[in-house]
Amino acid sequence: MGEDGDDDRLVARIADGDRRAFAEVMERHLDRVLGLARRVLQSEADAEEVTQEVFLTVWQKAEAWRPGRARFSTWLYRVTLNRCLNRKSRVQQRYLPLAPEFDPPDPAPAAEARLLARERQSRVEAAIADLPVKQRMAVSLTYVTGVGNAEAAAAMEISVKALEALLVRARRSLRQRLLAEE
Amino acid sequence: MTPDRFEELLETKGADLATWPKDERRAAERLLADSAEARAALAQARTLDDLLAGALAPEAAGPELRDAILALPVAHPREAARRPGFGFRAFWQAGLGMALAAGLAGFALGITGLVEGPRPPPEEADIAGLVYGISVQEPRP
Repeated sequence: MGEDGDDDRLVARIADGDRRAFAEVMERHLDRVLGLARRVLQSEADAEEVTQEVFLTVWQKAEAWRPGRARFSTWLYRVTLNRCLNRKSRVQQRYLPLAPEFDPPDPAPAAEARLLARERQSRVEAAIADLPVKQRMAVSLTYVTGVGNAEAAAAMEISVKALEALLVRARRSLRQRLLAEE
Repeated sequence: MTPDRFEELLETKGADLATWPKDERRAAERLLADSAEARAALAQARTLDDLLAGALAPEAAGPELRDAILALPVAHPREAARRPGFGFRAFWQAGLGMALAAGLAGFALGITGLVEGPRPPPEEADIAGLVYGISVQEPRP
């Protein structure tokens, strides 16, 4: 049975109150749900709260899930994005990465390589944080969850064409900002 | 395939040719074999994809979050879905109920005369009498 079939079978068990199935669904999807929420909200605390809300929704709405109509992961990412947007409209909080001068130097021999990797990570994170929210959602769905354009569009409840337009604008902006600095 | 269409597909579908439409993938491979520009564009798109995929790879959630999520299911899902808690709707309904009850109680107290209504100050009553020719002042005992 494939990934989708496994998810459908687990969700059916959750509807019957099976906590082990709930734990298994959490293990399968937690990191990607949290990663998506982190990128969209740019706040660790908000992302963790949204992630809990998403899994509570899974528990409460499992009975209403109808296999075959859509992929469970698509629905899960849609719930995540909706929760993120709700939270964003309530709390206009923005994560600002620490300036490099506040990052103490690492005395270990491989420190320079790690420092470079961390700097690169910070630059990418800052560039993504500066994208408009819908472009950030499209990029995060593509690179955090690894879904294709059709599933990302379904998760955002927009057409594939609209999603691709967001990705084009985001990639142009990121390419200009990140590759010009390389 | 034209170079413009190739670049459009790079921007819409990404640098992984396996995700491109099948017929266009073959045309793209032919263009790549012939065009150094197309190869350079693909290399740049791959660099961006790798950079983003590397930076955005999801990190593992911490044990505290896992424990918090595992503690979420308190009631059976069917029961939990039926009793969503004291949400906005319940709050609104309770508020409306209290407002109606307060209104009815006020009306009852008013018509039974248990509570005296506000009396206008004497000067206001005088003005009302002058303008409308009526007296709003209760007769003095």
